[in-house]
Amino acid sequence: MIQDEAMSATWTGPVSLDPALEREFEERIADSSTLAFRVALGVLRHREDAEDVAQDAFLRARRAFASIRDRERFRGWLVRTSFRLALDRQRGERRRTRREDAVAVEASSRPDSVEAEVARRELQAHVSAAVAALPEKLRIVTVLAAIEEQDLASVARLLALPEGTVKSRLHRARVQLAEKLRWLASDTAKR
Amino acid sequence: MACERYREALSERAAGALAPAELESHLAGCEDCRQELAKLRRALALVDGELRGLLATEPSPDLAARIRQAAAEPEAGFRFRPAFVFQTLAAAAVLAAAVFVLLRGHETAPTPVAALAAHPPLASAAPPPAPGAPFGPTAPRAPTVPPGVPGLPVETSGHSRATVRRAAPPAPEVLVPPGQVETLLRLTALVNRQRLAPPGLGAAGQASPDLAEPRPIAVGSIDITPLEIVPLDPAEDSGT
Repeated sequence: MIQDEAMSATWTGPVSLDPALEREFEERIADSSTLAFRVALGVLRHREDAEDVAQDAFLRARRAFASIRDRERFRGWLVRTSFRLALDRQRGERRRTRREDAVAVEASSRPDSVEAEVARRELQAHVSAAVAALPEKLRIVTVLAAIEEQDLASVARLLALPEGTVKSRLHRARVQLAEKLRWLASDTAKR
Repeated sequence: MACERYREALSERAAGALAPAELESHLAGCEDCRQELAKLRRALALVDGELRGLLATEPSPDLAARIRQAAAEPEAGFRFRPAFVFQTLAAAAVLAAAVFVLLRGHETAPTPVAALAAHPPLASAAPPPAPGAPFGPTAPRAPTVPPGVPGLPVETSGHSRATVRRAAPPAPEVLVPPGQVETLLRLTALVNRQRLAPPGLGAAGQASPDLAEPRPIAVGSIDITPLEIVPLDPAEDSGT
């Protein structure tokens, strides 16, 4: 389980920052809100939920901003917090059926044939389940590697881990995913 | 499958690890393992493609603005949503309407009789009770004890008999439908008059002192006939 200071900054009200900090925080919103959103999306696969989580993560970040002012440190903090909040939300809403709705919304925007659409949704569901079944440490590395386009040095900086550790975790994650989804490759090849 | 022992190594290879020399030489001569490796690589390519597509999704253009707004809100722990604001306002309006209806209903509600103490006495009724005094069918009447007459005997532990005057209870309130107040007052006065002056015991409207006193019960005048006890089962009576 990924434990850090990310969840300790609970939001209890508005925090006033001095003008210099306020300007910096504005910059962080501008350059990191998409990152927070995508990390949450990698877990939740639901746009609105992911935006909620991104917003919540920033509100917490604002409270702790004085201690995470450095850009790299801030982005790492934000990634871990977004990931943790997304996991919490996913556990809380597992009974709901919004995941399927989310896939449908994303899928319907593409003008594919019905058959291709169904196949794509099936693939999404299987990949989603396989990634969700990974241990948390492997899961966040997998999501971040996809976001950062396999730039493992960048992933290592975000997670404040040695690059070798990230590489090793990603490899273990891919081995598990390959074994879990190899039947899917066979099935897809037959079509 | 004869190549089962290479399965784990194939997964490692598909995930990008360097294959040991033994696996490489095996792959060169084993079509099944080559196909298995291709399958594993294809599975990972599907995962990569799916994740890449998902995680290239852009957030709503107003996400940053929403975050700024939420950070400035007093209740910043909640996400600002116009729908939420609308729902809150609608709920407040419903609540206000409910309170309004309740208050209006209260204004037209039946009038408590206690509030009618200032009503003028009815011409045909007996003198109304003093303001605040209990009356009516639901009002327990406090015993009226004339001066010099022994009150109700009450046994108190370790004490001799004492005369106790019960305190008058607070004026009860009776809800009366609008327009029925006068009728109820007439009925109340009639009942009071009947109680205070039953026919033959005193003048109408005057309380009889006898009624204020509890009448002693003449125990000696009650005849109790001894009962004969007959057992239902003779055998049980004989103890067998």
